[in-house]
Amino acid sequence: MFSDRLEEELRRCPEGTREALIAFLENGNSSDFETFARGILVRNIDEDYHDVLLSGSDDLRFMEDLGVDSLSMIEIAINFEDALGIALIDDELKEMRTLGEVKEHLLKRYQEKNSPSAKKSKTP
Amino acid sequence: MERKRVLVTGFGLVCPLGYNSDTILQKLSQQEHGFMILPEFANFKTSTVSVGTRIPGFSTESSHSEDWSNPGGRKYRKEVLRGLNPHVYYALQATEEALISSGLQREDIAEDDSTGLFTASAGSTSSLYQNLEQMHRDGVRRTNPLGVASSVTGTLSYNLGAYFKITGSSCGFASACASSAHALGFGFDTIALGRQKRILVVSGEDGDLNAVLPFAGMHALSTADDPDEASLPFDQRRKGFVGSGGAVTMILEEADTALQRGAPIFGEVLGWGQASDGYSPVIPHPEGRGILRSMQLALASASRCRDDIDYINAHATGTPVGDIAEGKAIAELLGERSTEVPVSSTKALTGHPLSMAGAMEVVLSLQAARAGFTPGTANLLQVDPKLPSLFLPRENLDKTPKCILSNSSGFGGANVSLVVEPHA
Repeated sequence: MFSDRLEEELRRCPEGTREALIAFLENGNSSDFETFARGILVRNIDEDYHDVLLSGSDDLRFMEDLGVDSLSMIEIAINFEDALGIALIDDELKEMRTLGEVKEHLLKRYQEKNSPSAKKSKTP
Repeated sequence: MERKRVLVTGFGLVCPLGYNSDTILQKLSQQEHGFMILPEFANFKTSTVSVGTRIPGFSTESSHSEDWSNPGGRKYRKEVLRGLNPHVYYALQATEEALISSGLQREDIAEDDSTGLFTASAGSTSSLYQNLEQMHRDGVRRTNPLGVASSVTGTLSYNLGAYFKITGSSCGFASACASSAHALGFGFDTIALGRQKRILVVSGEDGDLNAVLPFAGMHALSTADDPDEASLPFDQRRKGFVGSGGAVTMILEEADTALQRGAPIFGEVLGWGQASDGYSPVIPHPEGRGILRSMQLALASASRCRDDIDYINAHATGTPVGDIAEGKAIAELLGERSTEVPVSSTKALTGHPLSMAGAMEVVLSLQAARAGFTPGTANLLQVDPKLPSLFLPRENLDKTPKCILSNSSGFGGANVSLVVEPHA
């Protein structure tokens, strides 16, 4: 269903991440998105920050609260791009500081990609 | 300005013989080698090479560094692990061990402007191969962000400099198999000139298929299929070297600084020399022109003469041409003493770990001397008749060398010789 690379990444995420991604891609349910997104983040941040992430709010800041530097952010972005079939723009990502901002941006990109006009424009 | 004395106050070694100094010394004293048949070598397309090495206690086979394990059970943070390749992983352990042996804490060297880091490695060909393969397969935007820093020559400096928070001098050396000897030599100079009080000399090599097997293309590797008879320096049965790897860290320290803190003293670097062959990109000068001159310069730098030498740890990897060229140079250096000064190659036990050979062999020589013996060349049963007359003991000698000359030679005809004195 997914590329080998994404399957390998999902295998290293917390249990339930892959299933949540599949469910989200099928039904667009926001709670599935939440589970999948936090799973990807847990896989990419240091163990010391796992509890903060899992118990924290959308106001958590990537760098200050979750120890995510710019290189980790690239790895996280690659995971989300592969999973959602979207392309993220570097300049936009650099502007985002909190978990909530990133999640909102991901959903926006995903919805744009799946909007009727976007699908129509891809029809040969 | 008076030249500062440079002491060896710590070391850590991870090699095919083991990962702690006691085990390695025991194997050195009992002449136990670290070779084995590697299926990935033997089964590789058109390969005639089957013997290689693995690093005991470590697992670094996975393409994901988070899966790796080390014998000390040390855990590293995700941001540390992501930039690693096998030899940097080994070097973390070797450096931690070196600090322990030196009585230093990580806090003692962190953000200390008088502590520098000199490194030597050829980079990680496995990591480079993996990252480039990913880039070609998935595109540049899907390339590992740490792909460059984890692969290229210099990777040891990048990773260790950040991990140990080095703020003094930091640079790397790339003279192939003479690299760590160069790092030691320039580390010596840097301290002797008063520019740093302490230098960590760190070298490492992956020693895996992608690091070693390409040397089969130049027919430089041993094609023996018996690990007991694969590495045969100076022996007329030799067919090439056995590639190996691991990591070595030496702590060089300015004498007053070391004595003030009551540091253990394993030895002293007395001087060094370097000279080049100017002959071929890869083949040594047949008469050992460069290595002869590097030995002469090293003795002059150390204010020693040939009469002072008690032991020569030769570069001798087991290649047909290299051993003869070095043997001729040693005979010319020693003159009438050539039949009395013991000369040996510890690569008969360790294999040839490329860039880390020089520093590793200084460590092994100091360890042997401190334990009261002079290493022989294990398995040397049929001395090559093309060698000049030299004293090439097969078994370890029950004699403590006081002045040791250690040679290293690399591609491009780079030659380095170091003069060290063990301390009890």
